[in-house]
Amino acid sequence: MNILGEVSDSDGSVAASTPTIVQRVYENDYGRLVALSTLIIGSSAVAEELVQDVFARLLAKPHLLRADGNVGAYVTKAVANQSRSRLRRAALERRHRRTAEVIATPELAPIDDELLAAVRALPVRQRQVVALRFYDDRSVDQIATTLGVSSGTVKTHLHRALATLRRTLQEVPE
Amino acid sequence: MMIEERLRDVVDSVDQRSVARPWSEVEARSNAIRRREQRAQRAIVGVALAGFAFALSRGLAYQRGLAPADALSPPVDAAAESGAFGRLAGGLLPWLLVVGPVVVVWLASPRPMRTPWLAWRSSRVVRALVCGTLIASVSQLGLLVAKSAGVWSVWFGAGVAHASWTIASLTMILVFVLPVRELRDSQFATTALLALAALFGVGLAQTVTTEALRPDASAGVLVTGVGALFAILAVGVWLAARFGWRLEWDLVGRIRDLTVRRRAACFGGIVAVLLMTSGAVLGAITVNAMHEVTERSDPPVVDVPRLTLLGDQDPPLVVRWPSEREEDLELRGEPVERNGVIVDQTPSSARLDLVDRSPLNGARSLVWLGLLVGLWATVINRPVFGGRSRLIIASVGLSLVTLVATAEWRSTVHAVDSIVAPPGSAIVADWAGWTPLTESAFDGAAVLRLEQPLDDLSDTALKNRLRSAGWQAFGESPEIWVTSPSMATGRAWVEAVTVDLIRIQPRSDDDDDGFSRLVILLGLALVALSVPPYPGETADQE
Repeated sequence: MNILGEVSDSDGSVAASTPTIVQRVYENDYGRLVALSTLIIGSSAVAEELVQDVFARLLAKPHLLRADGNVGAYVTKAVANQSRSRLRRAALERRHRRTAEVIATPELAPIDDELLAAVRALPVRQRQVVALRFYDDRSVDQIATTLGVSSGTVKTHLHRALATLRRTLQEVPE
Repeated sequence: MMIEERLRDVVDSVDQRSVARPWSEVEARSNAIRRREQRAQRAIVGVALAGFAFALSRGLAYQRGLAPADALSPPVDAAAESGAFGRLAGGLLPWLLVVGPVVVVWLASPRPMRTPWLAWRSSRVVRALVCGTLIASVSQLGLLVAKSAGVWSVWFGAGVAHASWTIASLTMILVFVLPVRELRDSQFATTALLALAALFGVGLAQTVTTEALRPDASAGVLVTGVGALFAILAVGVWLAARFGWRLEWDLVGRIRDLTVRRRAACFGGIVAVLLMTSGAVLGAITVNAMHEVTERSDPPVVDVPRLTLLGDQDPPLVVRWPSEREEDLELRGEPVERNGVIVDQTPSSARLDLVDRSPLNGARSLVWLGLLVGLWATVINRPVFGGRSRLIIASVGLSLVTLVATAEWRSTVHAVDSIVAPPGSAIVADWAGWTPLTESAFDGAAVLRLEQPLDDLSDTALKNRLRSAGWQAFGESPEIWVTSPSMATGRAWVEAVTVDLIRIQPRSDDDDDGFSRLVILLGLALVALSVPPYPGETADQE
């Protein structure tokens, strides 16, 4: 588990050692954040760039942190949102450039290509929900808080996503 | 294996094999981001300060009666007193203040980018600003030379000035928004929309500013105008920052996620049309409101003609005519009684039509152009639009253009006034380069253009100016000055009634659009700066 919630001072302000704490979060959670982004984007190579970029921006703008200074929560949310934005941009680039040269970064090593392809076919919001659900096994409420949507919406997206995945991968539910 | 287990396996697999890069790389990237933003902030501050300095100098010049017809030409009286250098400096300084921010923006732009998108973003904007500014600068310098060499006429100058600005603006827009490869890029449409909104803001800002900077503006108007100007700019910047980029990515993109492309297209069109409509309506309302205010509270275009009756009137009676309307100024026909004074009529008269506004008004023509560009960018360039939607929205857009053009025409017609200039009278125009004042409109009356308000000239200075221009004192009255060519024809009438001074004051909205053009430049620069990084940009691509 990361160091969520251990950053703020007693008065609620962001601690002076924010860069240090950001670095600790980076070193502790880097892999899992990459995994989160990989599930949404479908490419671990792009995900690594994205995660690093999120940390760089946070380091450049520490004021982005809310008063509670919850670095882990912020970074998780930022990675989820940035991954979504990256997908949209890729879609728009593809649409306007009329070429398929978008985010065609090769994988560092094969993962579960079949599963990733199925996830990649999901709508972006469903991808986010699935990724957050299996990233740290977050609860529905936690996912809802991260994405800024209602719990019902999360449940709906999660249900539809899993159903689609099962159908795509032809898995028989238990 | 169940889906859930496979998903967890993927997460664990990626987690385990992902090796965090050295923290120093993150710090280097972070520093790059910080440097870039600092440069952008400095550029914005520089642009704002330069714009403020320009506006301040312009306002002061206006207040002191030194504002020339063309805001970017030297304040003639002040420059004349300081010699050729002062004249040159007076002409160049405003331009340096205009070009300076552009250079600052250029220098502050990110280094040559590694991605074509960023290269497009930086080079296109810079090239547009530089090309447009260079063209405008060269043409304005040409004007300056022509003025200095005496090759100058009001119509020529105004025509060239407008043409240069129009060409410069066109160049900016064309270079900026017409890259061949990116014609179908969505950023183009978004940027065009932002530019459109900025132009509307500029139109409003221009109106507000010119009113607020009037010499006779009350403190309340000044405060209100400046406050409104800042509010407009703040709202514009906020809109650009808040919605400009997200308009494409979030709104349209989100709807597209729901696979309702047609709805997305309609939504985008509605947003664009709403922007245009609100801008056009606000502009029209503001212009009309300002005109009404001007009519009610301001002096007429022809301000207080003064009739000096010769003869046994001592001191001479001064008749103030209450209106600039033609029927009130008509001197033909039977003697009329005005304010209890019988005024003999002149046997002949000349009519001077005052059209105090050029239809080719730089800022407004830019608004029209922006409207068309925005319309084109939004409607034609959107691949999601079908033929029917395109036709409907184009019709709406053209209607809006017509609406704006009509409002503009109304204001132009509204500003046409006539006075009657008796031959032999000394007609002294307040402003040197007052565009529509042409000698050809006079019949026998001579015109001397002064380059500062009459109120600022002492009697001695005025007489010296008249004398140096070849005017002669008529008869024994030192108050009556006529020109030699008109003396013969005007003598008989002058003995009876002479209009010794017709004070002609330009309307505030006849003022040149120099400031508004600067605001246009600022708006374009702000738009360029407010466009967020294109997809693919990361800190290390700086």
